[in-house]
Amino acid sequence: MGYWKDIVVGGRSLVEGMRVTGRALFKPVVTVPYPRRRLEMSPAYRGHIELKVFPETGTHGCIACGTCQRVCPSGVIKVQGVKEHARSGKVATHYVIDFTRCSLCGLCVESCPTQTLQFSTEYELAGPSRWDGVVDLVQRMEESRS
Amino acid sequence: MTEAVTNTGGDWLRLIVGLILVLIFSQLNALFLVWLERKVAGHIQLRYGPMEVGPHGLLQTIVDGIKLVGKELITPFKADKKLFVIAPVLVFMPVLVPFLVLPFGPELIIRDMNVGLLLIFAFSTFSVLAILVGGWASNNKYALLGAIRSVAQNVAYEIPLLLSVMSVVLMVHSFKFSELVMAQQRIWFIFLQPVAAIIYFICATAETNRAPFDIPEAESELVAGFHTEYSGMRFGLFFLAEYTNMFIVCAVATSLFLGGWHGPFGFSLGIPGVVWFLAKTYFLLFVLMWFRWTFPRVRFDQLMNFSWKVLIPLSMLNLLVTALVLKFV
Amino acid sequence: MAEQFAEPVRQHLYSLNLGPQHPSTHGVLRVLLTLDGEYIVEADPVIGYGHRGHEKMGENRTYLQFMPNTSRIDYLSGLLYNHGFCLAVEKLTGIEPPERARYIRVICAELNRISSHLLWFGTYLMDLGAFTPFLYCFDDRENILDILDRVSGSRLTYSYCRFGGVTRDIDDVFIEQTRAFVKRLRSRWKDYHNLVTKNVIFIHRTRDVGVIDKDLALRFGVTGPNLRAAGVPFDMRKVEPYEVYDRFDFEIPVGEKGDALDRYRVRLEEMEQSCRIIEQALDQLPDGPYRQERVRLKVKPPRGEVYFAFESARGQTAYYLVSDGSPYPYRCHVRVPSFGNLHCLTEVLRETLVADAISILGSIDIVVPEIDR
Repeated sequence: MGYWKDIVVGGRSLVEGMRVTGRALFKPVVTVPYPRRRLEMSPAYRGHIELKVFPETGTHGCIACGTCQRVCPSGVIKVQGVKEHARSGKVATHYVIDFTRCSLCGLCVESCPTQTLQFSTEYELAGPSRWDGVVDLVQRMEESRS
Repeated sequence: MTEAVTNTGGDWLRLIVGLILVLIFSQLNALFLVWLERKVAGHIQLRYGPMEVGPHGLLQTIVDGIKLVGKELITPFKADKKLFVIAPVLVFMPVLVPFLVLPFGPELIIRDMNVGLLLIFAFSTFSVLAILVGGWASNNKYALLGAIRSVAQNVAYEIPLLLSVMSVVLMVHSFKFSELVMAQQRIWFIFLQPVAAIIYFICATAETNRAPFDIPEAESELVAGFHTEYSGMRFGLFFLAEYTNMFIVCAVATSLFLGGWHGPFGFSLGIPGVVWFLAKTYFLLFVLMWFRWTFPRVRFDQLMNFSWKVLIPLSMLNLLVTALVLKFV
Repeated sequence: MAEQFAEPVRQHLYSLNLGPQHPSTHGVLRVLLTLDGEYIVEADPVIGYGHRGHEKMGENRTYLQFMPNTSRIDYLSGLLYNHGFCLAVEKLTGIEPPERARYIRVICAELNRISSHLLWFGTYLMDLGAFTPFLYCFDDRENILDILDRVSGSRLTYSYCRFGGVTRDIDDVFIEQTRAFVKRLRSRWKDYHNLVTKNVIFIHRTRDVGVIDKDLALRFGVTGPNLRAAGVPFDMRKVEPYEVYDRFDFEIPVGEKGDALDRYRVRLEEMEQSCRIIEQALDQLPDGPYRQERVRLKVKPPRGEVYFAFESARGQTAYYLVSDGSPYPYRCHVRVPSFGNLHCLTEVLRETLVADAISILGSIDIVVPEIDR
């Protein structure tokens, strides 16, 4: 009798499976047709880093101390700063990251003593050239402000 | 055959127009089916499917076809060149022939042969030869495995397929499609022969190498099975042939079990026969797609076991019962 | 069936390279098969195509700098690896993370375990030829990724844990979302069972296929769900409870025979158990700081060594760290579960069909880059 039972039970299980997919056929679609509709990035989203602009000073607070440069596991960051006059601290003039090698771990953001680094929410970062990944953050900040 | 000889003149015109119509219809149908398949798959999987080209992606397959035509035809090193080139043609030509005898409507049979049903099965077995040739000529082990599987599978499933069809033929005493359909004017054969209908449909799925019986091209096991090495329009021909084959088996199922151009229980509801026929055929095609996107693939030996231990005995039994009932009732 | 083919005719043998480029070898695994028709006479997994030198990298980086690497060793359970590495270094240095951080880590780790199992579920079914469960699983998994994205900022390589805590505190929205997800996942079981578990084709493809019995599993060092499917209730969370796992009430699902179906059942049941852990952890979640403040960026552990084993989604994973007192580890070794799991294949694959090989390969849930590291 096992022979017939197998056929009946097996056949019924197949119909059950088809009911599941059949119901799904009329369920709303869960995907997003990407360039036509975009999703909000979560507030914690880790894009590449960028310099924060403090409203009090109207500029970034990078003192070119080089902590981020040292803490970065992949050696992505290069900071250059100048002293405007003998007494003052350094101010970053160039903050270059090579995003192609960045692993987005966030150690630079955590280690920054002036908290001037933050993650951007940019995610469309593909480019045709290797150099598209190399960004000067100071320049970028200036461009975005103007 | 007698009417083919006596009718000349107008008959030739009918044949030529029919051939052109068949070519156009089979191509458009295959393109539409590919689109439908992707759409059904998409919505079953909670996504959209093609959306970009044309309204709801309707022209997507045409664009894909153009892309396939534009691609380079690669012949692998040490492949059997002649056979490799012939195989896609070989797979595509025979799938056009069955259209000549398919009963789209009471007046829409290009050539109503008295062996119509046999003709279809004779030509549909042809595709397995093409698959074997293609798989063998590719000089690729995956392709060869796919070809071997395909042959074994087709041999095993041809038997229950024909046996299930036989029980219908026994009831009508004819291989002629018009008579087979006319016999279902009152009641469709699916109600008289449910077992045969189910067996036929399962075997048809296996015949067309569709999931869950798609072991010749099992993409997770054999990469792409027999057409692993085919590129460009050669692959395209295999692809189109598969979808045209699907249409044929479903059209045969419609005319054998679902009453062809008749409406249910003799009510045509004023809808022309050809619409009934196509609606039922596309519904069956949809069910085939539904199968594919629901079930896992069976294993090779299980496939064989299923055919030899379940389908063949059942279809034999069904045939026997049919014969006895016809004889004594 | 296979027994009849146990003694093949030798001259008909041929070899087939399953991979490194093959749709279902999950990355870059190559299995050199010797076939007799469709029957496998010998199977020889060849690894090393995805070697990235993570262990060596670990020796050239400070402990903290190795953190992003840990989530890339096994990219499907990145958070579990982060977690384990944190615990290993904390054990080595004696950093005590606050209570809240421990709970947060456990919740996120279990979410990650579920996401890893869900992905396995989907890809395994895809190996068996069913496409649709894959996308259903991804739909569910997407919820986990969204939850973890909100708190860690990343969807796959989290780098979420830090020595003495985590990078970001969880909020009420996180708790709410997690609870909603657990509820949603539970409501999905019925569909999964109807679509897959009860499916006659699925059962035939997995029952008595690729039996890794107790003996074989122990011989090859198979761990994780594969070992538990063979009937050995061995789970690092129970045998050597780390973090706060001893405070939760959960079971270790075990199978009977150790075939692919058992492995499937064990993993499905494990997801349910992870849900239970998450719920209990959310209930017990204490207030307080989420991170120890006094941990330096460059931790300098005292001279010594540590071996710390934890349960990743695939089995017993361990870090072995040797410190010479400098900020860089002297030796950094990772014990990955997939290695042992994979290499029992040489015995299991013998006398099966090619189709079974795919099924078995899928059912043991390997992540090849994890083996190659």
